[in-house]
Formats: sequence, C-alpha cells, structure tokens
Amino acid sequence: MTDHSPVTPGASEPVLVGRYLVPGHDNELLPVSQRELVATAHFIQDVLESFAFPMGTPILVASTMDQAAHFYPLEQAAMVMNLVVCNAEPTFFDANRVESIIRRLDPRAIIGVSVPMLEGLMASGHAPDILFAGRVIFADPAAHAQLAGKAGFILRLWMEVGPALAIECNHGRGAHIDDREWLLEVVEGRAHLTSRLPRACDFHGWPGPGMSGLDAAACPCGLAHRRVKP
Amino acid sequence: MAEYSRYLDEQVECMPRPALEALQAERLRSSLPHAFAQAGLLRQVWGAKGVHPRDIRSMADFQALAPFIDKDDIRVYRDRHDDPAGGLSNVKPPLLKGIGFTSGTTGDPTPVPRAARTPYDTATQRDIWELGARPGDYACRVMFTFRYGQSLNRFLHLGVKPIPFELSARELPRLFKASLQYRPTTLSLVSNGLILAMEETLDRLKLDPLDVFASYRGVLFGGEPLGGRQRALARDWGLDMFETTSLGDVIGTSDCRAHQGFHAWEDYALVECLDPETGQPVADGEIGEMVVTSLVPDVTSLVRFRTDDLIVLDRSRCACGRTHARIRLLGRRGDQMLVAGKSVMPRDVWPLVEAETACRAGLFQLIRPARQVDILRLRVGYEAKACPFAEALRQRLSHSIEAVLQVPVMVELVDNADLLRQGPPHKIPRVTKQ
Repeated sequence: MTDHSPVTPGASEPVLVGRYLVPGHDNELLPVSQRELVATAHFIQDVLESFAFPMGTPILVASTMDQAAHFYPLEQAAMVMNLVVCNAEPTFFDANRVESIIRRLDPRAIIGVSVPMLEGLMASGHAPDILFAGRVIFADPAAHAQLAGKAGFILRLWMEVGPALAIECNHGRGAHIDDREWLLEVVEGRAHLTSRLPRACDFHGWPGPGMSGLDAAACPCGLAHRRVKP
Repeated sequence: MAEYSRYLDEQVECMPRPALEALQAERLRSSLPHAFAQAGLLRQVWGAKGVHPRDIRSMADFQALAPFIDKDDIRVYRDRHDDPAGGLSNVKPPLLKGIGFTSGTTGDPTPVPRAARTPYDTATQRDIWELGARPGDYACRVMFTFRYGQSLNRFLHLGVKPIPFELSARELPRLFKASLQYRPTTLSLVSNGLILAMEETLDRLKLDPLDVFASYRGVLFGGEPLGGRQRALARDWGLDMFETTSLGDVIGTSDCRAHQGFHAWEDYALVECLDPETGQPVADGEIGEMVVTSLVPDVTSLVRFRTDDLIVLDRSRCACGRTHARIRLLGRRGDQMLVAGKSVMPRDVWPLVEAETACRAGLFQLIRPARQVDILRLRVGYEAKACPFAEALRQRLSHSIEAVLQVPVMVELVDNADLLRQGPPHKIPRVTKQ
C-alpha cells in the first residue's frame, strides 16, 4: 500500500459524483468520468454474458440512486444486451414491490439483493428462497452470507469494493474484478485498489473491504479478470 | 462561462398558441394510428364505440368521438388478459428496455414500460433547465429508482453533473456535505418529510442553511402538495421552490420561476379540462377533470386518459413568456368528500393540521367510507413522544378545523410512525375507506 493520499484529482472530466464505500468511515463522494461509466458497463456486460440470458429476459434490478456509479452502468449494459430491466429498491419498505415484480413479471435474475430486502420479504410473509426459486440471485456480501447454503436458486456475489465492482460469473468461483481498470492488492486480509487508466480521480491504494483471497487462475467463463472472495 | 438562453427549447416553449395547436393536431394525426396498433385496450374501447382512428380528421372529431380510458380500465384489462402493461403496449424487446412502477400508494404498483429514451426524460430536461441547471453545473438528485431506474440521462445529456442520493433522511448529512463541496445549482426532488428532516439535521449538525444552500438556483418539490410550513422554511433558507407532478403519466409537469401553475408541455401531451359528469370541455378558469393524450411516440399509448385529477386550466401567456398551458391542481376527484353537503379535499385540511407543532409533519388521512358523509373523520399523525397532552391537541385540532371548514369534525390521533406504516416510505394514502 502507498503512504500518500489514496485519491487525487484525475485527468478525465467528471460527469457525475458517485458514492463509494469506505470500510469503517463515512462513504465518500467522488467524481466519475464518462469513460469510467462506459468501462463499468462493459465489465458488467462481460460478466453477465456468461449466463447467456436470452434477449428479452426480464431482470429485476434493486438499487437506490446513491448506487448510481455502479447501477447506472448496469442498466446501460442490460439495455445493450436487450434484457428488460424491472426496477425496485433493495430496502425493507420496497420488499412488497420486489414480490409483486417476481409474481407478475417472472424475472430470470435479481441483482442487488440486500439484507433489508430479505428482512422486508420475510416481514410481509414471503420466504425469499421460495420467491427466488429457479432464478439467478446477485446478492451483496451480507445477503449472500444469509442465503448461502439454501437450495433452489443460483446464488452469486455482487460486491462493491470501494470504487470498483466485483461480480461472480455463471461459474461462481469468486467475484471478478476489472483488471483493466484496477490493480488490486490484498494486504493483511484487506483489499487496496489502485487505478490503472485515466479517471476523474485517481486511486492509490484506496482501502477496500476485507478479503480472504485473490484468485488469478483461469476461469471457465474465459474472462481474464481475477476473482476475489470476501 | 457560456451564456445560455433563458429557455431550453425557446421556439417551442414560447410558440404562439395557433402554431402550438396546429402542431398538436398534426402530432395527434400521426400518433393515433401508432397508438391504436400497439394498445389492445384502445382497440377494445374504441371498437366498443365503433370508432377508428381513420374517423378522426380534426381536433373537433377527436373531442367528439374519441372514447375515454381510466385507471380502472387499465387494471381490468391487465387482470383479464394477464397483461402487465394493462393493454397500453405491445412493444417487445429490443425496443422495450425496462419496466418501472408507480409508487403503489393506493394499491399494487402499476407497471410502466419504457424505451431507451423516454418522453419523460426529454420533457423533464426543460424543467431541469428552468430550475437553473446549466451545462457544467452539479445537480443534487434525490429520487427513488422504482419508476425510471437510475434516471440520470436527463442530466447527463444536458452536460449537467448529477450527484445522486437515496430518497432518505439518512442521506442528508452527505447531501449537505456535497452542497458545500460541489456547490450544486439545483436539487430535485424533495418532499414535505425531507424538508422537516433537513430542518432537524441542519440543527443537529449546527450548519447554517444559508451557507449550505447558497449555490442553489432552484429546488424541485413533488409527491404531494408543498405544505405551508415547509414552504416558509425553504424561503428562510433562501431556496426557490418549484413544484412538480405527473401529467397523467405521459410526462412530468412543473411550475416555472413565475410560480403560476404547472406548465403542461403541450407539444408532448394534449391536455383537456372536462366536466367530470358530462365529458364536455369547461372554460379556462373553471374546475374540471384533467384528461391527457400522448402526442409523441412511446412504448405506452395513453389516449384520452382520465386522470381523476381536478384542475383549473389557464392557456394565457405566462409571465415567464411561455405559451404552454398552466395547471392548478386541486386534488383527486376520487378524494373529494361532501361533508354535510360541503366539498372537502385533503388540501383543505393540510394547513390546519400542520399548523400544530406536534403535527408539523402534515401526516393525516381523511376517512372516506362514502363520498357523502355527515361528519368529517380525520386520522392525524403527531409526535407522540414530544406531546404529553394528546387530548388537548385533539380538541384543538377538532375546533380549528371545524371553525375553518364549517363542517362537523371527529379527529383520531395516531403516532406519526404508525401512520407512516400505512403506505410506502415516500408518502401515505391521504384518503382511506376506514
């Protein structure tokens, strides 16, 4: 890890301000460039294509606006892939909408599953594992831990690693992180990110969440991106 | 810095009424066959009346012949045909890109199909411009995602840099931090509840609102009417508040700097103000039901959609220079009560409730078992922890509301938190059967 500031102004013009998680601290508001949004969308598309969802497949995207730096590119990627995005929020209060969308539109995948969503579903009498049956469930680390071991659906990890995103492909052997964009080091069980390409702000050893490991072995999906596990 | 025009689309926003009406007629002529082809509900309703788009040769034909549809028609079609779009769209991928949902305040959320680029996005850009955002500016964006997803294109395509936040009071410290750090020029969208939470959070963090909000040229408010207390608070903070609402689900509609009603972008939508009973037009300045027809191609086709909104329409030129009609929204027709023969709407009750400090959140419901009742029953939210003398509060409320509305009133007090559980997180149903 570097000993200078973990973030400095970059060369690219910002187009929005994103919210990035900083473990143990308040979230940071940092600018994002158009190139970064496009690169994130391409990365998400690469990972989602390993599932071979047919054109027109409905997917449920559960996000809040503050997650735009990652979920706006997801929606752009889904449009390019001709998937149909149905929207809800991953909150306790919006769990009824999640149930309604699943019942009426039968989405093949649900992206952005969180613990508050699971709690909201259970509080309104819906067992998540029954609702999720037969679907691909992309859950954040806390929700992933709650759902692990339950049968009937395909559970995959969707994880914010500070400004980066880590997503499990169809093969489920750890969450890919975009190696073109990020140099990721795991030091004493904690991720540290350094940006490789021009950004609205450059990252130098930005502190991410705890990581149990980094896997550089080839993935059957064919993506070169290394994989992390929380 | 570049100098920009007062208007985003000056030629259209300020076009003379005859030219605007000619444009509407042309767009209606070209859009009707498209709507008819893609909407099973329209074919069903028009077929039942023996009407076809080829019968519509003029605006007068349209007003004389075109049947109405309403939300119940859409729900019935949806359930009978197992069609999530309620018979308003047969558009499939790749044109169909997403399905958003209404808030679900009064029932199961209604799906709203969308394409990659929506009229809502492009029309809303005029409102963002009027708020004061210009290319290069930062704009705080507080919004839910269930309706339009991560709806940032309306900003990005203008060159305005959004700072997005979840619609939640817990975001406010970051919103204030962003306001001081990035000096945004606009904020959209705030609610009554969020303004009250702002007051508490500013106080708790010991922040000076005049400093925090110094860069804002305009703040967009929506979801329900802006309460008087909240309007006064915003004024004290130096904020120019603009209200917004939905123009029958075709596009949004917001007021301008003159604050003389919501501007309906009439190149996008034909707005009629009709007598709810006869379906005949009422004169400008008189109360009628808003009926909306989409004039631009979209994945859903609303034609003569009865919104249930009671409005007053004004087609005179606005002080801002625009020629598009302005709407004064009075409330939902289905919310109107006749109490001992006197009309009462939620808007009539609002200022009387929020005038009490313990009820400043403005949370209340009209109990409406029938349209006509003898006594106005109200369920009013209050801050139970901060108000030990609830019975005295209940009596004060009853007396003040009776004195102003001149109808018999029965008030039931409930804790704000309990009332908030009656609806989705962003707003509560203002009228309920029990």
